Amino acid sequence: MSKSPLSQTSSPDSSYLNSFSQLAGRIRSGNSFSGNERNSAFYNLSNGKFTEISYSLGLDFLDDGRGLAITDLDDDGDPDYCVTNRTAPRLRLLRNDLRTGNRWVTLRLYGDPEKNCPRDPVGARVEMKVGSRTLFRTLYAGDSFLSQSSKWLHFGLGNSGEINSVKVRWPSGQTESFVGISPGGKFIINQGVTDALPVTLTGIKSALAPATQTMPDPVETARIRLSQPLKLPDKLKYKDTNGKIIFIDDLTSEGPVLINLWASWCAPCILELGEFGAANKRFSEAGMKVLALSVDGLSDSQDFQPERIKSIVKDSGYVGMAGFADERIVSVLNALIMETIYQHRDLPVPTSFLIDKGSWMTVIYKGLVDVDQVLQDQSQMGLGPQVALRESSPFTGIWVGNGFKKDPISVASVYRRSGYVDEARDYLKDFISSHKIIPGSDPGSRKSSQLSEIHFLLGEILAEEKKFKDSLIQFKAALHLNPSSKSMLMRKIYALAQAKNNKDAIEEALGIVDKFPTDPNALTLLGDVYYALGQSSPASEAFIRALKLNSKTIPALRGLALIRATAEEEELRNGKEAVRLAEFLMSSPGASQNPDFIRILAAAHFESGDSIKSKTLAENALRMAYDRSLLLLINEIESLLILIREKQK
Amino acid sequence: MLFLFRSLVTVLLFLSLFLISCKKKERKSSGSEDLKIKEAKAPVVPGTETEVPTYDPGDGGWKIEEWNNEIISSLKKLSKKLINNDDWEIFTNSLCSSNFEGVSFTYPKVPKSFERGKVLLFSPENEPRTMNVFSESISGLLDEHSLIGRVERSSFKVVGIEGSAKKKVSCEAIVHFAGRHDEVFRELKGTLNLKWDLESGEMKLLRVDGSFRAVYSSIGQFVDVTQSSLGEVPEFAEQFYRGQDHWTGRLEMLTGIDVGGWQGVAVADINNDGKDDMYVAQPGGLPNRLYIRNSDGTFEDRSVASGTDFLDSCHGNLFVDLDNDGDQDLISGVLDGVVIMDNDGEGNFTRRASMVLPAAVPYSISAADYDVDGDLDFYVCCYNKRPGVNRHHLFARPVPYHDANNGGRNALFRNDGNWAFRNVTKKEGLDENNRRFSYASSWEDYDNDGDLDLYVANDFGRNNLYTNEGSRIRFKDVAEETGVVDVGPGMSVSWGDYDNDGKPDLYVGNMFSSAGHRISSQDRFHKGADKITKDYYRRHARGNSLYKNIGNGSFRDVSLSAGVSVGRWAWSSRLGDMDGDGYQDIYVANGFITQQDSGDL
Repeated sequence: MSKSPLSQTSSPDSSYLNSFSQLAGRIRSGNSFSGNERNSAFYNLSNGKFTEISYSLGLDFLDDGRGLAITDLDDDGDPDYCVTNRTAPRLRLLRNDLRTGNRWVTLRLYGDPEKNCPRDPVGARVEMKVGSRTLFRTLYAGDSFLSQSSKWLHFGLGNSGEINSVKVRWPSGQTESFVGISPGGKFIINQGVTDALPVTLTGIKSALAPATQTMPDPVETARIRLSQPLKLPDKLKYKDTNGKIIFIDDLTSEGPVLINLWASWCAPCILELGEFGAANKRFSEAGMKVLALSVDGLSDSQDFQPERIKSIVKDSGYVGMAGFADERIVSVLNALIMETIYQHRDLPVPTSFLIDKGSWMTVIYKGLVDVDQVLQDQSQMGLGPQVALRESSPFTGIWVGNGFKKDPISVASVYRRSGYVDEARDYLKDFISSHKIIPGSDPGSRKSSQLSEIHFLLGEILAEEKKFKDSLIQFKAALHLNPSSKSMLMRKIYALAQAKNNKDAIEEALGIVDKFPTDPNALTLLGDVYYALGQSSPASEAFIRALKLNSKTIPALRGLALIRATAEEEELRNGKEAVRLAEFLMSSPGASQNPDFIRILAAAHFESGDSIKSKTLAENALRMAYDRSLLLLINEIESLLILIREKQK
Repeated sequence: MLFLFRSLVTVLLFLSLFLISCKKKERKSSGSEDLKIKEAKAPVVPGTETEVPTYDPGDGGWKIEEWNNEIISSLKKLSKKLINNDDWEIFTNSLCSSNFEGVSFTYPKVPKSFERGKVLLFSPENEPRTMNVFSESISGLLDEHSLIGRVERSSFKVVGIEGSAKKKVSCEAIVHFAGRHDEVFRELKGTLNLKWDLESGEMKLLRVDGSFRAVYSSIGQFVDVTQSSLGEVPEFAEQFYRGQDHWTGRLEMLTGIDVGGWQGVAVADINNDGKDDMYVAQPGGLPNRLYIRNSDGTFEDRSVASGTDFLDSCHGNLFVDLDNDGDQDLISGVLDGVVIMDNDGEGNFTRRASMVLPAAVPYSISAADYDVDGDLDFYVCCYNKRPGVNRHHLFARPVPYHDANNGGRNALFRNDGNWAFRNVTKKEGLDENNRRFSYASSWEDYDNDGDLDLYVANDFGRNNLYTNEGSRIRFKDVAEETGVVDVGPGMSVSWGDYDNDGKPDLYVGNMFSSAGHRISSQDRFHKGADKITKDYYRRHARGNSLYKNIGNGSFRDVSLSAGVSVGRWAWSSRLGDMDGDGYQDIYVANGFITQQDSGDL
């Protein structure tokens, strides 16, 4: 093992991360990074070597290329390209107009699900004998980078182009030969049908003329509609033309305000002020105001004359509030833009901000803005998050992310079911730490009961990880937030037992039995508590009492069956009874899909001496437990299987 | 072998070292001059002006980067003059010292007549041609290939640089000249050894040695038919004729819009008419586009009608038949997870499932029936962890840097029928080495045992080849044993049999960095490091890799001998037979970030 050359430097981690940030910062500030690179094309010289001839092939674009897929744009059999780019144009369709005299055949494959092969037989491998050569092509679904090429497989046949045979190895394993495939054609191959199906070529090359894509001039103006409006900081203020200090919050308490930043040396700004003036009636009918703030005072130049600015405003035809921007208001507004969009450098004049009632910054207009646009945007403010989200894109479309379950319990359950217990646990912990509830504040409210469920799930996860002390804390919290829930209380008592708080657990469990003497679930809990504390004898008694109250109490049946099958004390074990109980358990709804019940039946059969039956069942249960990532159960079943194997030896 | 993993990020580290001391230019003086500047540019609120940082190659402390900068700047000028045919002879000779020793070039002589409709390679003659004047050598070379006045491409890439005693610097550059004459495209590729003298304080050429090959192509070209195919489609130009930098200036970061422009394209026959259609991923705030091909070759926008105009940040999509009903269903990766859409056979989609991915953002998606049960399952590469609210990362932050395993978790979804999919990554053994910032994956039966194996290209850390063993823990990462770890920033995967021997080979996209080459060959670079370490660094910046499948379940790295490594900062790369000769060629889409400034980092 070689010593890392970097181990000599001090604190490499921080300097390394630091340089990442700096690199990102430089790019955000406008630097290129490995830009202006030409796409490459390596031509196969058919002797194991390639030569790069992207220029010769017309493929050496300067774009920041990203995605790349093969397709056939003109149905002539040769592969054309579809490329996506970071830079404009973000899409290029490149038609293959190579003239080599070589011939082509293209194939599309369909599998037969009856033969255990997907209809879309991804992974199928075609072996085509062409003259003295054999070509091999596999059907892929997704490769390259972020891309997927056509499911039509292209075979270049050279100029001889005699197809001797076509064989397909299907992903399901069968190999099959096909006939009727000739050069120059397009064929569909169906699994189990020897004759390939010819498809007519349309040949549309003449219709489409090649052309250099001409990009429009860059635009300086930008409209940025926030999907989540930003609150302006408190006490943001400006001086009006009479020198009086005005707070933005006071202006927006009555209704929306358009804040316009302008400068006396910016001619378009002054014209825009005139337009605002002319639209004064429309603004007031819409219940909004305009505030024109001159940024002249910020300039280093000495010729800042407030009186001159005032007269420019007056002459422009502007009617409305006016004043002078100071450094603070400009830097706050600029920072809010930086917070909102990635690509922002200088703050241009004019720039306008549509601020909703209550000082919520909702739309940013860099450059000149049309009054109609402002009024349109004003009419769509404050109509809720769905409207805000819709308005935030300049195009129509669906926000499909809305359809995902986002509540913490669903999300954590997905993680947990996928076997990522750590992530489920951390996710819930994060959620809890950012959604604290004031102790004692209205227990039973919706928020409290949701939080209670979250603590509950976190408790279950911690218990599964055998962190019983931590899990007890969570169950206590869950109960605290939802004190009237009996199931929370019972789970907490069981958690006490799991955490080996023997005295408390038994006391509280007996208390529940006293309180609900006719509830078999209370007795079952008592049994579970004893069992968790390793006291199988009183546990079995409690289960029997529960079953006397109701013979179909599934958890009690489960507990008793488990004891009869696996208890350490020989006098408590009884293979026959265990099998009878476990079989009864298996007759309950959904039991055939319950790996826990199946493994109890397996253990019962083992105890009764039928290790063959036991093994089959245990393996079946293990598969299910793996499938659902039930870690504790996997351990239990694996130890059972070890016992079975030992006995079989 | 810890050091191996450390070095990967170190390459990026030394690239960024140059950037650390960015010197802001002095603020311009105010007054009347200020006004003029403001009128020339868009007017700006005083005090908010920012300037694009200038690149000072000396800042990193690498002398060679200062030299490189000067050399590159001279060679760039020469390229420009060659392309414009603008007094390049005078300029060339102005680069030479008064003690110029001469030029020695070897290059091919081209026969008077040669075969058309072919790609032809010409090797240099053995006998060098020596000249005393630099411009005469270049002119001799270009004239031999009828390129004088016809140079359309000229580039010099400095890949090695070395200071020697007495103020001399030698450098090695990869050179490319290309142009067209008599309907034949002619490319000259060579390496130059340039010896410079620093005596006078200026860098002046002392001697030049070079060797060139020539490639002649008269097989025609690819042509851009985007405008004629899509130009009439509403909103196409509005959306696609603007680059990502336009949109990141207009769409909230909250949408998840990415700066890198990591949006791919999925080609599939979506309406079952036998013709390929395409679905283009779009960044957050712009709707994905479904373009259906008409019989005249133009396209029609069916995004809205089909129900696939997702505005969510999207990188990759995949069309496969998930329910075995004969049409192409959609698996779309969006910021929140994976959306499954059922195709009705005519290209109208209904949402069937939405799967959250544990804390990760989906990138490339690939499918296969890995468990051979007759339906298609799929694998999702998840480059990054999902950013928190209001956070936006251009770069990943791989830690610990010696073996980054803090990316998003990739996920394998098993198709359980009836639109039920289960994340079985962990269960199937794919959670090993699973958070290495994976960009792309692809399935192939590399060991010819009848089931599909999975290759995953990782940006930070080694790549994975998961062999499908079919046992209870199904997959095992065998990249190391099979020889396809491919140290380097993995970006893309393309399987294919490039040598037609019946065994699938593997092409992996990486990055070629001339800066990496220059610096990693310096003694000062990780002083005291052993040869293996230094080779490793060089390997990291080497570029794309081609692995030849040699049977017996292993591969041989043939990237250099096959000549396919210099694919620049490569993203997509794919094998495909362009000219129909039965041998698959490779196309590479590359380039990281091009912005308006001139100084590239």
